[in-house]
Amino acid sequence: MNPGVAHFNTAFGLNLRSCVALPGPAPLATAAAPEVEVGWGEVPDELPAASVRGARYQIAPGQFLFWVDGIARFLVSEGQRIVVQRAPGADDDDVRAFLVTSALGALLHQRGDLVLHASGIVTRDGGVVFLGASGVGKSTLAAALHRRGHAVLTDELCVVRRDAAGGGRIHPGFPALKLWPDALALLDLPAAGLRPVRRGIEKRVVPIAGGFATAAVPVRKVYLLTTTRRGEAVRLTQPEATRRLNLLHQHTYFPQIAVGLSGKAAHFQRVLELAQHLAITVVERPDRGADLAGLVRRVEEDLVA
Amino acid sequence: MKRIVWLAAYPKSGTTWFRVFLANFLRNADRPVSINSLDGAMASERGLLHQALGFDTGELSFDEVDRLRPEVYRHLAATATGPRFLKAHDAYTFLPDGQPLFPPEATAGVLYFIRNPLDVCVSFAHHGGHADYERTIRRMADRQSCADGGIGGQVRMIYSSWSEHVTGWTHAAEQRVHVVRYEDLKRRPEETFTAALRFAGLPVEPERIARAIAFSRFEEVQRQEKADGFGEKQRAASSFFRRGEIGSWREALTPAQVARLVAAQGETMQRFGYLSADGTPVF
Repeated sequence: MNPGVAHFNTAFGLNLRSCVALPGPAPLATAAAPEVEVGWGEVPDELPAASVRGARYQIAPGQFLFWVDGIARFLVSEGQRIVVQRAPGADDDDVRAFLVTSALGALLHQRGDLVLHASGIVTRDGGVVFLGASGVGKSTLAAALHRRGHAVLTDELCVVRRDAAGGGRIHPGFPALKLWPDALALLDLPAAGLRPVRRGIEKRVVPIAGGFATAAVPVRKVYLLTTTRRGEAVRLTQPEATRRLNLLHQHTYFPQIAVGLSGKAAHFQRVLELAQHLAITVVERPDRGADLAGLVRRVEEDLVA
Repeated sequence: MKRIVWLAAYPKSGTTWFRVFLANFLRNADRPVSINSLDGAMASERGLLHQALGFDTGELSFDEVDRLRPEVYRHLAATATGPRFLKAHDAYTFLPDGQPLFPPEATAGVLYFIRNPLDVCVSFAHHGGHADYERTIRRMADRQSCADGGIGGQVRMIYSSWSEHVTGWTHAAEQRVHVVRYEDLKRRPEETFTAALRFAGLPVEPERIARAIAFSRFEEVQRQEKADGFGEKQRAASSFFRRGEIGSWREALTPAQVARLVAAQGETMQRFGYLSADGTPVF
């Protein structure tokens, strides 16, 4: 594996050395040995020992292989190494888009972490997580709460790791939020000055300069964002405890991959640990007529209730 | 590998009704199935694609997503243990390299649903929460018409014009296509539902079919929607199962609007029995 130009970074409580620049500033000290290495190299076409095969991924013990046509092939091994074989014509943005999402997500699963598909912010009580499907508004809500003075923990991958005391702590991800133009408009942020996630894609990267969490925080609250075709107002409900396990599982970052990498028992054990201690509050917002201020207000009211 | 049965149609042509019928037929229960628990995903659902791919399509361009779709469908067909029904509102589209978006090698057959475009127009407008039929007539004539994937639960679908949509699917030489007319489902249900099931390779059991027809009739689905809501209704529409009739266009469209729509779609309408030889609407 060729590390190429080395970029050092810290994310999810791990020291990373990567051939591709990652969002956020380089740590001041690079003396610490990297726990995760990302480098260029050849990636096999398939994993002979694969137990799971999707249309564009395979899972074998300790290995996750996936490929994005025209962009790159990725081999994620043992929770420690990501080899990237770049396709001709793909640039760093293209590679990064899938490196910091699917590749790192799989690596974190391999390390035994619970990885939720969620954004997160910090309140005075601790970490708050917003689960939800792609496009529901997790990043937009995090951006709005950031503006209200809350530090951002993460944009898309939310790592909950058991600490020595037995509770779950969220380890901050990358100090950036990825937002679509209509979300930027709601937040009064001009799209023009911001770098697109990839060329030809309207989604923009919004770096979080100040107000990004620097240390892990205990997870205190879990919200699940959904949209509804009914009604005009935001509605908060708490599903029964028996549904928590399934809801959390469904909103793991790629649940079938989590199960494939860790095994069903280990994965559900991690989910159960979180489900046992924390209620989930479902936040239903109308799917049209975006009232971001109203949503933020309801969530903040609930946070202090 | 030929496992997928596409339920293809221009929007508002009867696919949802057929899915209600199919759910009732397959589950073969002693009471109607809930309309909110229908089987079968939509071919353009992001969740469906993500599960098969192992990555999110949100940061891919429309063209990049389109190139991946046949692969996803081939994968779904290869891993299916029986016939797999997938609904598709896309026009029968080809990728730049010439391959169809809907791979024939993964396809057992296509059930193509068609409905009088005069009624489709009225239904489509109401589905969008308005009664601006001019706008819908224009949209139905627009070969560039699509449903923008945006950030929602669906990827970009190209609808094309109503005529192109119908012609594309029904003339797809590499596919087995069986056309189902909405008007025949209403007027000759036993015969029409049975023919569709037979085409899809499902058992033709008259009693089971009759029960499924009864459990999926319009009054039942309308009753369920009023009681429990219907997750597939667009926000702006007052209801999804609104009229369900043949010929309700006669109370909605002006003669000028009818003339405009027929001018754009007449040839195809004639071919499928919606326009008589002298150009008058049949239904």
